[in-house]
Formats: sequence, C-alpha cells, structure tokens
Amino acid sequence: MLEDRAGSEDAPDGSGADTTTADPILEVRNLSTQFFTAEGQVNAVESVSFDVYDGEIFGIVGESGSGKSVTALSILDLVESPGRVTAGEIWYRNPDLADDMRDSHPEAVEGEYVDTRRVPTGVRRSLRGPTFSMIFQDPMSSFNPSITVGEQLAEAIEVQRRARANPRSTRSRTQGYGLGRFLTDSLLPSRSYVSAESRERATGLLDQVGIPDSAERAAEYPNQFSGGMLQRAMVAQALAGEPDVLIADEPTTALDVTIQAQILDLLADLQDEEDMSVIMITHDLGVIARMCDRVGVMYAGEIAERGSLTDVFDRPVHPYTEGLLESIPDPDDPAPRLQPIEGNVPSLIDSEMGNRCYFADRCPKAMDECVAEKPAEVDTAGSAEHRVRCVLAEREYDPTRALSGTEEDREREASADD
Amino acid sequence: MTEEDSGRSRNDRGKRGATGRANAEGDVLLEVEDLHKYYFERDTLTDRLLRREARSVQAVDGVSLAIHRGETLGLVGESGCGKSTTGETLLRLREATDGGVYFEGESVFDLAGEDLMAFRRRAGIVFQDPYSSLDPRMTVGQLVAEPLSVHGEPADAENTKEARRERVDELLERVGLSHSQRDRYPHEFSGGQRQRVGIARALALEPDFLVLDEPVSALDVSVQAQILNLLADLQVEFDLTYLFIAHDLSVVRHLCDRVAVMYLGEIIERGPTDELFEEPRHPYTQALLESVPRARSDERERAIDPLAGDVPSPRDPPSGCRFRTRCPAVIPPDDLEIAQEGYREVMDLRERLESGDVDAERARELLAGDGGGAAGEGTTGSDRSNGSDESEHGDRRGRRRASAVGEEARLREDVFEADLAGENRAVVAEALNSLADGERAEAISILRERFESVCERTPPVLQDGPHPAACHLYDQPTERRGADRTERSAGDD
Ligand code: SF4
Ligand code: SF4
Repeated sequence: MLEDRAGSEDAPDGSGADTTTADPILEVRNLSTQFFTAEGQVNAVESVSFDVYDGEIFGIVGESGSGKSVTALSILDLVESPGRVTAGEIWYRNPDLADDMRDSHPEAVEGEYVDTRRVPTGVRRSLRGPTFSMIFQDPMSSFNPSITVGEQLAEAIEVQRRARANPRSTRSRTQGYGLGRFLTDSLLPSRSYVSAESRERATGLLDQVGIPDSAERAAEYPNQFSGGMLQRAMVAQALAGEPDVLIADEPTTALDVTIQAQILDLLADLQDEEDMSVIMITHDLGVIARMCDRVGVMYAGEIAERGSLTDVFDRPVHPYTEGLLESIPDPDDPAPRLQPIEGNVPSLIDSEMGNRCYFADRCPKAMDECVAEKPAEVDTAGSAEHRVRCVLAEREYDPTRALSGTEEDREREASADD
Repeated sequence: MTEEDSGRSRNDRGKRGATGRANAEGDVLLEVEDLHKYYFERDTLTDRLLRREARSVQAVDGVSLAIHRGETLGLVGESGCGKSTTGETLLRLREATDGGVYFEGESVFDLAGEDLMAFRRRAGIVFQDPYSSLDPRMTVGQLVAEPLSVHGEPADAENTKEARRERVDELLERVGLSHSQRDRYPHEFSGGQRQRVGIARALALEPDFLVLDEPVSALDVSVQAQILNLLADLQVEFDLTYLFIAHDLSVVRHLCDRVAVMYLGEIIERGPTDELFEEPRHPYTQALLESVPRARSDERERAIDPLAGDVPSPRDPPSGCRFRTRCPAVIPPDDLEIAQEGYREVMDLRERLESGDVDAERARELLAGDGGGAAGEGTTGSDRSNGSDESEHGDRRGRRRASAVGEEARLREDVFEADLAGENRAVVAEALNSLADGERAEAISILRERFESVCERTPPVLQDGPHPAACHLYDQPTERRGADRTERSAGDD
C-alpha cells in the first residue's frame, strides 16, 4: 500500500496519481470560521480551500493557533459558540444525496456534489458518523467511564444503524462524551436497546483495530484500557458508521512514540482496507510524511502552502514551510544548530491582522510588497496542486526591497508590543 | 564507583551537538548511585474493580549515572519510565526511597541548613510546562526575582532592591526578552516567551547544574528550536552542566553529549549520543529510534516494525528483563528450535494467559474444537498423535497430551500469525486444553517448562563501559546463554 501511495507523486503534469485524476470526495472552498469574543473577532480559519480524494490521506499540518483543528470542526459543523462558520462551501460527492436534495435545495447541489453547508441542519448532522467521522487526541473524552467499552461501541453501532433507518430516533448513553455526543446530538432521547448483532459487530471492530481477546476486552471499562488500547477503541468507534471520510485530529499526539507507530500503522491499514479518505491533522511533519499523500500547511488560519508530499517537503516555496522544515531536529542528523523561525505566532484578532501577509513579521524574506496587500493563493512549480500564498511564487526574493530592519529588530518589536 | 563512561569513546568531532563544547571528559559533577523512588498508591478505579492491594509503584528502580562537568546528559524514555522522577529526586525535590546522590562528592541527601541552601543555589530545574510552573499572579520581574529574594541575593549590594532589579533586567535580556516586559504577567506571553521566563528564573542564582525537564515539549516546533539554541548558548556562556530529560529523541540528538535510555524505572542503555543513535544496542532503543517518524518525503519507504503491546504497569513490572513482554528479540531457550516471530507470539500468548486475558472460554475458542475455525489442523494433529516424548514430560503430562490428541484439542490455524508447528504447536495446544479444563496453573506451567526464557528468569544488568546495554544479548556477568545468542540478532553488534 505504501508503494501505491508513494508512487502517486511527481507525474510531470502533476496529475499522474490515480487519486488526482478522479473527482475529489470532498472539495472545501473558501472556508472561514470566526470566533466572536470579548477581545474582538478572531479569524481562526480564513478562506481555506483544499480537496480530498477517494482513498487518500490528506494532511493538515500547523502549529498551535494555526486553525487546523477548527478547520476539522468546521467541516463537521461542530464549531461551538462563540465560533461560527461564516463563509465557504464544503462540497461532498454523494450522488444519492445529490438526488435527494436536488428538488428541495437546488442551490446546494451541483452534479454529484452536495454543499453540506447549504443543506438543512438535520441532513448535515445525519452525515456525521455514516459519512464523516472523527477521532480525537484524547480518547478518554470519547468514552463514558462507567460503561464498558463494548457496550459503548455497540451503542454507537446501534445509533448508526438506526440513524440510517430513521435519522431522529436514537440517543446513546455516551451523550456528552465527544464522539458519542457528536454522533447523537439533536436526536430524541430514548433508552437505547442494543441488538446482539451490534454487540457482535462491536467485538468484530475491536478485533479489526488490533485488540487481542476482543470479547474479553469488550467487557472492560475504559479505565482498564491503556492509552494505546483506548485510542484503538476510539478508532473502532469512529469506524462504526463506515465513514467515507475519517478526520483524525492529532490522533497520536498524546501517545508515546512506540504506541504512535502502532496507531499510525493501524490507521494506514484501515484506510486501505476500508478504502476511506482520511484527513490527518497534526503538528508533526514526521507524521505527515509517514502517512499522507498530500498536505496543506496552515499558518495563522490560512493554508500557506499545499501540494503533494514532494511539493511541500522537497520544493517548498513559502518561507514558513521552509522554516518549519528547518526547525525540526532530525534524529538521523547531528547538525549542531537548529534554524528556528524567529518571533511568535501572531494574534488572530481581526482588527490587528491587516491586509498583508500574516507571516511577514517573522519572514526572513519579507519585502515591501508583502505588506502592501495580502498575497493570493497561486499555482507554483511542482504538481498541478502545488499552491502557495506568497509573493515568492511569482518573483525572486529581492534584498533591495527587503522590509526595513533586521529580523531581530522586528522580533524585538513584535514581542515588545504583543 | 563511577562507570566513567564518557571520555574514551567520544569521537573526534570535538564539538558535538548544539552545545559546541569541547568535551565531557571533565570530572564528575553529579553522581547518582542506585537511586530508588517508590510510590505507594492504591484506589484507582482499576484497583477497586480488581480488588488490588496497595502496591508500590517502582517509578525509579536502581538508577545510576554520572554527569560530568560541562556536559549535557540526555535522559530519555516514554511516559512513566521514571525519567522526570529521577530528575526531581536527584535534586531532592522528592524524597528518595533509597540510593545516593553526590554533588561534587558530597551526599546531597545528607545536606542540611546552609549547605542545603547552597546546593539549591547551584542546582536548579526548568520545568516542562511554562503555563503551570509560573505563578500567574506574579509579574515576570517578580518571578525572576523570587529566587534572589529567597536566597537573599545579591547579599553584598548597597541597595539590594536596585541591584536585584538590575539583575532581573540583565537576565530577561539574556534569555531574549526585553526589560520593558518586566511588569507584565505570564498570561500576556506566548509559550516560548514563558519558557524564557522559566529559564531566566532558573539562571537567577548562577547555578552550575540544571535539570531541564522536557523544556521544549509543550512548545511549537518553530519556537522549540529557539529555546534549544538558547539553552545551548547559555551552557557555553555560563559553564552549565545539564541533565536534559526528554521523550523526543530528535531533540536529544541535537543537545546531548551522552544519552541514557530508561524503560520502566531502569536505565537500559547508555552511550555517547552519536554512537547510540547510529548503533543502538538494546532492542528497546532500536525500536524507539525506529518509531520516530522522519519529516522527509521518502519517509514512507522506510520500513518500520512497530513494537507491539503497551508498557507494563510499574506496579507489577515483569520479572527478569522488563522489556521482555514487548521485545522482538526475546531469547528462546538454547535447546528450543523455534522461529523468532513464532517465539514472540508464544510469549505473548503466555502473557495473556497468565494475566487472565485468555480464560477457559477463550482457550476453547483458540482450540479448533469441532471444526469451527480450524483451517488446517493437519500438522499439529499428526505431530502430536505419535506422542513421541512421553518420557520427556512424564506421566501426568502424557495423560494430558493424550487428551490433547482428541479431536477437540487442535489449535486453530489462525491463532498464530507466524509459523508454529510440530512439538511447539502441540505444547501450546496442550496448555490451552488444560486451561479449557479449568486448570490454569497447569496450563501456565506447561508453557513455562518448554518456553521459559532467560529474559524472564534473570534481570539483565547494565555493565560498565562506554556504551553498555542491559540485555542478555550482550555480555552479561551471570548468564552466559545470553551472550551465546548474540549472533541471533543480526546487525546488533
Ligand atoms: S509573502 Fe512575503 S512575507 Fe509573506 S511569506 Fe512570502 S515572502 Fe514572506
Ligand atoms: S534481555 Fe531479552 S527481553 Fe530483554 S531486551 Fe534483551 S533480548 Fe529482549
């Protein structure tokens, strides 16, 4: 499988990958999410666009505050007040749904695609689970500590099963716990009945995610599971609805590196077996390199650069991507000194952001034009999907037009007045 | 008493790592000798459910190390391995259960009064979490000044207040902050800036030695590199000696001169950084290094074989080698013919059987029963039916074997992924059959008798020398069997 995916880069026209010749399963366009806080309007996600193809793993990498997790929540319509998705389209390819919606909501349908933002809330929510599922960093938040793992899993399966028959009739006792809640909110309360079939499938799922003696483990409580096991159980829970797209938000960040390797292997295998698409959200470029076909690098709420793995890792154009790659220590390389990106992540308060490149304060190649107006996202050399939001995509760095002041001065200034 | 292991083997790069320091051949600044730290705890939900008695958690179990003046020693391991407890205990921030710590030869645990204060001035700590380790009600200036006022420094100044303020400003500037930020509160700073404050605070008393406890783990990568470079610069400038505690091996490679790897409360390998990264010896170190995903576009072509299973609980660590429950190289008995993967799987099954995960019912499932799930019981059935080794196993065993030969006793084909055939397979089936009959103890002993490893009998010890590994694959003093096996693990040596 690795070969399959590894081979998908680098075709001369950039579209050599079988994934990229097909239509995407998901097309996110100009997605913006803002938080309306006491300090002002925070632009957590700003005009983000990307595609996810069938059976690929698309990575979103960024540091804290880059907007990567909010992007995931926005796709699932899980952004909570004071946040709100304020603009954009999320086109999901599903011919059946498109047919269902075509008459009642023509504006939400285009060919086989449905804009999940423009369908009624109930329809949008019914997509969670069977269509879009999610795993989180902290598996404990997805489980109710007082119910056995098997029972919760069986309930999730039952909920999915009934949701398909009648999207508004079930509720699970895992309500209030992450995934459980997100699978079931807005559904009517009714004491759950879990069929033997669902129980059996629960054990089967535990088996599938590599939990040995799954029947015995199903009878245990979440606290009896180790972190890695519970992460596996959460993956099983996310698979309950046989999703088309699995969103994994920092799925291994809380895990030790040897357990991380197990979980990444598991996700790659499952993605292959189930032929689902995965959106992998992480701060770790190593995880991206290990798992993803294509990647978007987020900074300050925007995708600074996106493209195939080779586009981003081997011929980055955006100085932030370059800086990020250079600042990671490599366990195979004893290079004595790291090349950090100076300065700190900017505030995302709307009134302070301005019409300029958000990376200009930290960018070693910032020029006058970078702060004159915000650079648009443009195509650049590499695969057809290599796009970057930086003036360097179209012109060379010219030191004579460098922004005045040294980096240190600017950093000093920036840190002194933040 | 020291294992003097740093100097000789240091390579000729002279300057290594970010520290750019000449070498670590200096004298021993701090020595830890057979340090133990046990906690006694009970009453987690699991304990109550399983009705467990209070048990000691062996957080640190016999750690010895020597830190040389001017060097950075990395202490790495996964969560719960005891690395942070080691750091805090050697600074006497926690009380040791047993063992000794010597700072310039003086026993730290025996210090009192003025001497203890002096030690506290000279040995400090930078914590991982710049969010919780700084009192949010104090300004940055107050935070950095606090250690000064606790220790009444600077003592000789005419105007202490003024002198202290100057010193604070100087420290803030040195760690890359501005003195104009003195009156701000921690929440006004980013994570990286807060860690700079933490470092300024640790530097305030001009220490000789700092424990850096995961100082960059909570930071974004771009900021992480700033802080690592800062720490390297400060080390040179102020002649500092570091114990750098981390779970992130990549970071360790950049900052450390030598590295010690911990697993379940013990140091399992120690060596000069480059050597340990390029030729890791202990199977755990090898797996740990292999597991780190590399940020390179060809990363997917790198084959890795993740370690299975979880770290066992430190309340009840495995006998012998603590890594044996996960070790891919666990050593079979000398006289046993078995493929390594098959042996690993048998050992896993034993573990699950002994812990109760495999019970009588499960045992019946794993046995082929009346055809259910039995894909190809041919091998085992026929091998077993000749009952060739009655003499070897004695009468009782023979009877058990006889019943195992019955139709219902065949081991399901899919129980093992690796090839396991002949007598090995027969013995496993026999044991499961005992278990299915409710005779757990016998099932356990049947398996132990055939499959017991030196790795579970004898704890391997960390030898002296520049790059020792606590593993029976390497020169062990008591057990020769381990050493004889070295050739089995190709490329380890
Ligand atoms: S647009 Fe200018 S400031 Fe922004 S990243 Fe590109 S070069 Fe740097
Ligand atoms: S002693 Fe045995 S179990 Fe432990 S690491 Fe060495 S080979 Fe593996």
